[in-house]
Amino acid sequence: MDVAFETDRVSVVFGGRRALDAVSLRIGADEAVAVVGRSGAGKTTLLRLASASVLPTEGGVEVFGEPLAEISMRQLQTLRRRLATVPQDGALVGELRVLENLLAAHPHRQRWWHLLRDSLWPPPSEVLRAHGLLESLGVGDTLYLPTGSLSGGEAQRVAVARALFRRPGLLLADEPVASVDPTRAEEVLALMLDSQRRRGGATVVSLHQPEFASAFFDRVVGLRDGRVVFDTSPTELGAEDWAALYRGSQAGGEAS
Amino acid sequence: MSEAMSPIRRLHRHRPRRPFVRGSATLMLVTVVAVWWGGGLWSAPTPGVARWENLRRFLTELRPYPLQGRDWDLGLAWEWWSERIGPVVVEASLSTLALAVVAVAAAAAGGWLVSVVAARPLGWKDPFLRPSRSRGMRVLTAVPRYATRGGLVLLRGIPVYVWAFLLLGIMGIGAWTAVVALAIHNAGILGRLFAEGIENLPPATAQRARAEGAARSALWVWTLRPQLEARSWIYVFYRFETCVRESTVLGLLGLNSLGWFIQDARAGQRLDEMWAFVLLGSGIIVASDLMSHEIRTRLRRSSQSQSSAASLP
Amino acid sequence: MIWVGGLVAVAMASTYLGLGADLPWRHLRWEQGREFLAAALHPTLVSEETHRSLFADLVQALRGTVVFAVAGMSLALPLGLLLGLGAWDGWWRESRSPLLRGLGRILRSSARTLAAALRSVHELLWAMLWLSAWGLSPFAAVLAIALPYAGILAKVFTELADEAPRRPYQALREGGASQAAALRWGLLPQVGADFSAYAFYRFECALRSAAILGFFGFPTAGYYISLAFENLHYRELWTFLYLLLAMAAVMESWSGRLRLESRRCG
Repeated sequence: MDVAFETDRVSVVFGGRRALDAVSLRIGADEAVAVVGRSGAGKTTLLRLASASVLPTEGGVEVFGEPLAEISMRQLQTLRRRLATVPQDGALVGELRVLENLLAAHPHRQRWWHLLRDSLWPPPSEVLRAHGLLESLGVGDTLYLPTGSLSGGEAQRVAVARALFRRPGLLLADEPVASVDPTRAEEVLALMLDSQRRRGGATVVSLHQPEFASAFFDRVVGLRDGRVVFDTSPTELGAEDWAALYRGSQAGGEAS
Repeated sequence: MSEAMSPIRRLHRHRPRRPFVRGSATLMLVTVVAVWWGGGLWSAPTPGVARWENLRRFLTELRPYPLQGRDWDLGLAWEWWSERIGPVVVEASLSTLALAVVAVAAAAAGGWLVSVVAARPLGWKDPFLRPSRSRGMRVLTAVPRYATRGGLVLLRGIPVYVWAFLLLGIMGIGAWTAVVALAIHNAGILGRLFAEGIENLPPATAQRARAEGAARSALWVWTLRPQLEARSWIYVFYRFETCVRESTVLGLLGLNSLGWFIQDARAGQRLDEMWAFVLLGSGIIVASDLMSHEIRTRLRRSSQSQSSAASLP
Repeated sequence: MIWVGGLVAVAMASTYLGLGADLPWRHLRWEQGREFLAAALHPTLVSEETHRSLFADLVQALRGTVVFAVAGMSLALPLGLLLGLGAWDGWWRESRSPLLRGLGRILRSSARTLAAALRSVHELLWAMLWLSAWGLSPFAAVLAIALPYAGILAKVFTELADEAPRRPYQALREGGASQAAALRWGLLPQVGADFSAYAFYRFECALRSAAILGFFGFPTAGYYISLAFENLHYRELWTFLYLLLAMAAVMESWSGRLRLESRRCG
């Protein structure tokens, strides 16, 4: 099995606090994995390791078989173009139109002549693809709107569209449905996973909702205080596993 | 393909637009092309050969006079410096700086006074709460405001150098002429900035004070002034930097500042001295910029009032 | 504290200049002053000497001023962008090798120094230097505006870019975007509105500077102003002063409208 993302006893320390503690994970090139846990359990840190946005204090990270610690900046940039992230804050530029946000994320339109063309008259095929993606997420009409004028839920769906537009080998989504209403959230997750499965890409999604984790994913990884509590298929998860994850939390909840 | 594109075309047609911004940008671009194409920039009264000869001569004459045509000699250079440049360095820089200091203080004082009249909500019948109810009164109270605003445009629309030139004919040569020329142009700018500062304040505090019965003057002293003071100082120091720049050149007209020495050296074809004074002026400007920049950063940090450089005309 | 410092500075400066001893109205030429002010109400479109129409002169004054201002700004803007973005903080932070980071710091500070040097010489002095070096040529005026303005633009552009949120730029870089792409999509949208507002304001200033260059013999508004004043043709003088004022008023309302419109999203 090809491996998309692998961590080997990775620890990350931020100012004396251990965000991740000896986490070893291996995610296959066509797997869909949910990462669950309370706020501060280390979900976001784990996802940010893959793009080398966070560097491990101990241990090693490999993406598509490349050890991140050993490769040059140039190789890293090439590698990063095969990833897509949906960060919590969306990473959308509010001053750009939605279409421009998508074009900006295109991994192979990076040269100055691409930039010039995309600023003036973007290629119709790309516009069509962008519109199709947005439409399937229910936000097709926002194509030419300023991104800053969208509502929270719309912006989050645009962020998902932006990630899928890259056709990533590894999609890392950090709570991509946090501010979308529940029925819409199911649609968004289903579309995301479906499109990744069809193209044969891996997906790692951090989530709040246990029911979504069980319904859509091949594997569920539970994190608590930076350690892996469980790592198994959702069918084998029982109520006591979830209880172990959230024990001692206030009112069972996270506030995001 | 084209069928699939049609909803996209519709979206594109109805996208939010800013025709005025777009139109301005296009107009600018057209003007730039027109200026380089047909602005008459390429006509040259002097032939090319003479030009290069000119440039060569200019470059050789920049060297201190006793050193021209021979090797570098520190002793000679020092002699030249202490004879020609050194004696006037202090006078030239001090008079330039002093002009800027007095002028910017006068401009700030004038700007403050005028801004009270020029700011909209202060002129209302019930300041910050509501304008006068009758239309006639509203127009009447607007008259002094528009008059001051127009006056401010007049003051700042004419550059310092032109003001100085005009005042020279009327007031004669003297420090006052330079001070007044610098001060009135900058009063026009600071007056507008202060007035806009009052208008752009979040009105809640002033409204509360007024609702508790504060008089116009009390409103000014206890509510508006404290909120605006830090930012006003930032503006004043910003204008101080430009005043120093301007006051260096006022001497070209014969007034007492660094420019006078530059003009004198130029008239006497002493390019070495002219060059030295130009460098001295640039040193003065850099030094005062650094000082003023330091003060402005501290003020900004202490006041939290974020005013980015772009909001500073 | 700052009040005390300011007052002391003003007191010392005015003593040094001898402002108290030499009161302004002593030298005032009342006659000329009154004539000058009275002429403000009667600007003329006909030359006071030759009785020709001044219309052609007005057009030339306007045209010359605009030509030098636009030509100067069109050179200053690219140069200012180059220097300003060269001195931007964000470039070199991300590099992994300390050598490149060090090199970046050197480049950054040299861009800053160059910008400071350019703007520390007044445009009139630049004009004087170019005139002495190159003779009377339109390019002396164009460069006299372009060079100091490039320095000022560079300084302000750097400050604005340093203040802008760096997150979008970084996010794009972390997604593998090239530096050019991250700059275009991550930084430019953040600073574009402020950059153009400031550049436009500088254009207003360039018009004023171009007008003044007329005092050195270039065919702009200043040339006609100095001529009219020296011949004591006050009514003619006011015509050209009103031209300057009209230019300032038009530019101010234009830039005000632009600022208002570009704040609207889109």
